[in-house]
Amino acid sequence: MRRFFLIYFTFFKQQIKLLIEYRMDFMLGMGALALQQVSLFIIIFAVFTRVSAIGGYSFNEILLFYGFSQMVKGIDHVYNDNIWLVGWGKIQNGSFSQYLIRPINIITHVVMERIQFDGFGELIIGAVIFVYAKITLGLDFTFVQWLVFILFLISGLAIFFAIKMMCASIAFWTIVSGEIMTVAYEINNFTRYPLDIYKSVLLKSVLLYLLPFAVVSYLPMVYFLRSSSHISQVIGINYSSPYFLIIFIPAIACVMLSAAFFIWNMGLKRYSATGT
Amino acid sequence: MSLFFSKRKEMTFRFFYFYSKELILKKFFSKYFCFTSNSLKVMYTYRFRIMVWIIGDFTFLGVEYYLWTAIFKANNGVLYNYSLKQYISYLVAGLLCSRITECFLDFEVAEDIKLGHIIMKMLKPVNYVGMNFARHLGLSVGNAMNLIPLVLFTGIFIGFQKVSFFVGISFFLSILMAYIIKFFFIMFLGMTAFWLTNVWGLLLFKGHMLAIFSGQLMAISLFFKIGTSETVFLPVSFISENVIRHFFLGLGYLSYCLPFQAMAYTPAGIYTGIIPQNQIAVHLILQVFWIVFMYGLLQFTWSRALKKVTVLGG
Amino acid sequence: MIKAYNLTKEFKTYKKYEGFSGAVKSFFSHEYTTNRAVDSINFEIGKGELVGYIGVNGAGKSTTIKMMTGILVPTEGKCEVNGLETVKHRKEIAKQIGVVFGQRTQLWWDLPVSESFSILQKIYDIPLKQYNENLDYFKDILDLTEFYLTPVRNLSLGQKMRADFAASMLHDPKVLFLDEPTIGVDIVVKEKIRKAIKDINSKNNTTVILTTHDLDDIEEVCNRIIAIDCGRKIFDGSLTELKNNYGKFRSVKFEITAKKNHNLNEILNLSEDDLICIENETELEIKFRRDVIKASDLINKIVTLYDIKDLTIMEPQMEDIVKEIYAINKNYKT
Repeated sequence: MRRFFLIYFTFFKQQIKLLIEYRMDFMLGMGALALQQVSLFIIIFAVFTRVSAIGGYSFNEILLFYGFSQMVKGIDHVYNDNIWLVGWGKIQNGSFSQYLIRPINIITHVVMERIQFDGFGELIIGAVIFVYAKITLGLDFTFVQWLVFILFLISGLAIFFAIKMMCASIAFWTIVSGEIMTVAYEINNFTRYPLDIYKSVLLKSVLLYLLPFAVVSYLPMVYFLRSSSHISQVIGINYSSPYFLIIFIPAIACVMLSAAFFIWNMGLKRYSATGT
Repeated sequence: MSLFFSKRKEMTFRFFYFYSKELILKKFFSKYFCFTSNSLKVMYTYRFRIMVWIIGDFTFLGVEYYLWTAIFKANNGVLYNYSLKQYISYLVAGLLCSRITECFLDFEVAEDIKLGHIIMKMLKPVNYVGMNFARHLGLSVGNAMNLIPLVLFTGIFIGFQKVSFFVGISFFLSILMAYIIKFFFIMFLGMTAFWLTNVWGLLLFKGHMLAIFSGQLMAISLFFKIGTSETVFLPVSFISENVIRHFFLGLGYLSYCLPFQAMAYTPAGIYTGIIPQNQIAVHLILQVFWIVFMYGLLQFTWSRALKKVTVLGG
Repeated sequence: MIKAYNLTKEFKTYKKYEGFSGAVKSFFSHEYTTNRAVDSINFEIGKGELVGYIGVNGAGKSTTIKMMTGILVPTEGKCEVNGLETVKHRKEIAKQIGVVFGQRTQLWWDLPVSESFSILQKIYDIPLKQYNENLDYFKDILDLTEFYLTPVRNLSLGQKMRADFAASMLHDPKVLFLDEPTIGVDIVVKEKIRKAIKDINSKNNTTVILTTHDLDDIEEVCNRIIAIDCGRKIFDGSLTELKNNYGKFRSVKFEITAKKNHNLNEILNLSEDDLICIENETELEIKFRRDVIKASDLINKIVTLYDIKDLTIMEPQMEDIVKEIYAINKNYKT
């Protein structure tokens, strides 16, 4: 474990140096992601000068969903960006073999190799919006609620991680899977807004079970905002226990992670059988 | 990056490749058009990417559709004087127009410059920008294929509205000009690589500027409507009505000071009536201005770049 | 140190059909052919040996190296490094081996060489004292100092190769795998790399396995040769053994002014097995066994018989030797 942090820290230092080398590119990249946040914020703001609620949610409530979803996405973007390259050519050009001759776990190595500072733009603006919404809504978390919040956050990160890893693994069979990764990742755009506005059952099921981005940001926030009966109606699961989501969200995360590791390991096995 | 596909995928898309080759490749053959057909071939080695664009488009439309439906519903089915149907068809038409004018050559030009291939291309007896325009045409023909699902979708669920002759002609002119403006702009961006080397950040930045100032996320006319009518709600308590109005008015004017609105959403606005008939002429003149401006900018940048190459050796 | 038992690797290639209807057909068909890239190879390599692993392109060299390093799983048989079966003990083995693939780098593209090395120090958990000692040593014998702080992307091919070589040796591996370490680099760098390999071997008694197309590499570095062709081992023995048995034919090409049709076999009193001669209007090519007649004697003789404009002596190529080994083995079998 100590070694893990040592290696990570070394990579981190190198990345900082690179950042300084390519500072113009970095500034524009981070600025771009920040601009995206701001522009989406402006749209929501503009709309709320006319209407008082969308899908039954007030401006600040919408912001809460939006801020939290961008926070999770931002954290994921910062630490887990290198896996894109597995889908986008590491297998094609054979550089993936390098991981197999190193004395550390492969996925750890992949993750450690790169820190994407651009993601901080998303993270910071997401956090600012989230904190603002939380204060104006008067949402005060107790200690236990904070623990639940952290549990949800970690589960959300795990789901992001699992989806990216699963899609990247497809490259073990198809050599390049960047397109599939992009498609899966793009679906997360649906969860900028509460699930209530999507009337399609199919779409909801996809967002809850297949690519469970709704579990990443919608469920955690709606847990703090609405009653169990309301949520159970939206997601179509009949439950009454208030603790249901505290179990359900980490459970989905665990299932996704296990599935992802299963596919990844299967892919690795295939990779070392064909060596493509 | 040249993509290699497993045999399976290759076969699935072989069909399209077959037709594109037979129909298009052999028809045009001249100094420039050989670049066109070449870029078509490249396009179809990237065939899986096309699927990503299509799904990406539908994701975008899906989010926008449900969002605006909820918004209009919350406001009794009208937002200012637009109906939901009109607004949705504006979004779809805008997406279609931006796909027609789509140009990915900025990255390619930047790579050419970064890796030094540009010197080789300058040696050829063709104009570099002209060559790229020919390639752009070829890529656009390929692009048209992935428009099919979107067009079908529009035809079935939204329907193409009948427009007057005047609007039709204006729309046609407008989209032609948008196509050219976009191309000049993209060329200009690619060439900034002479000074920036890494353009990834810049291109990302461009993408999001385009999203907000082109009217993709929200019609620019809505900025003016908010700016000129009385606000009903104050979403943030410490921002006064006056500030909000001036902010959106400013945003609207800013949009017209930037070239982005001329690149896709002007034709869409004309076609769907989001831009009223009496304003069409102004928008067309504005587009002409942007063509001239962008052309000048491109020429200037290119001559500077040539100097940089010949004096400094790239 | 390294043992290969019955090592076999098969690859499946799916059948492809031509044309549009063929494309549809192959989409639905599951027909494939298996080809054996490596076919039941057995060998044992002891500690400190310098082994040259040779063969023509596509003979299965890289596949074997990949199986020995744990990147590929054998279809049949197994491979052990230091008593551990590869792939199953990937991480343990990774610490004990160093690998250089001449075609690609293991360094980080954007980082200076120095930074890549310090990351490897952490990854391989190399004690700082050992790391610094090794670093000084390699800086010295490979001349790394001049480009030590340059980002890898700006290095020349030769510099990259030297840096890569040093990178794979930082953790004092017991076995070093070098897959075409001298490909595309100039003669000076080749010399440096060869010297470094020999140095390392004598200093740490490191086992080295090297694939190459350059006969000089083999001659200067290796004391044992394993040759394969079409996935089968066709030769395993010392360098002198190889030299004594194969690669005996040299050939000389003369540029001549006129065709004369002398019967050289008769003049030199040599049989057709020892000397072959092809003549046309402008060229005379003679293949001969160097243990039967010396090149200088042959040339002296020809000069008296022909009007010579120019001549070239051709050293045997790796491919020729391998073909020769292969041809002889085939005859032997039948």
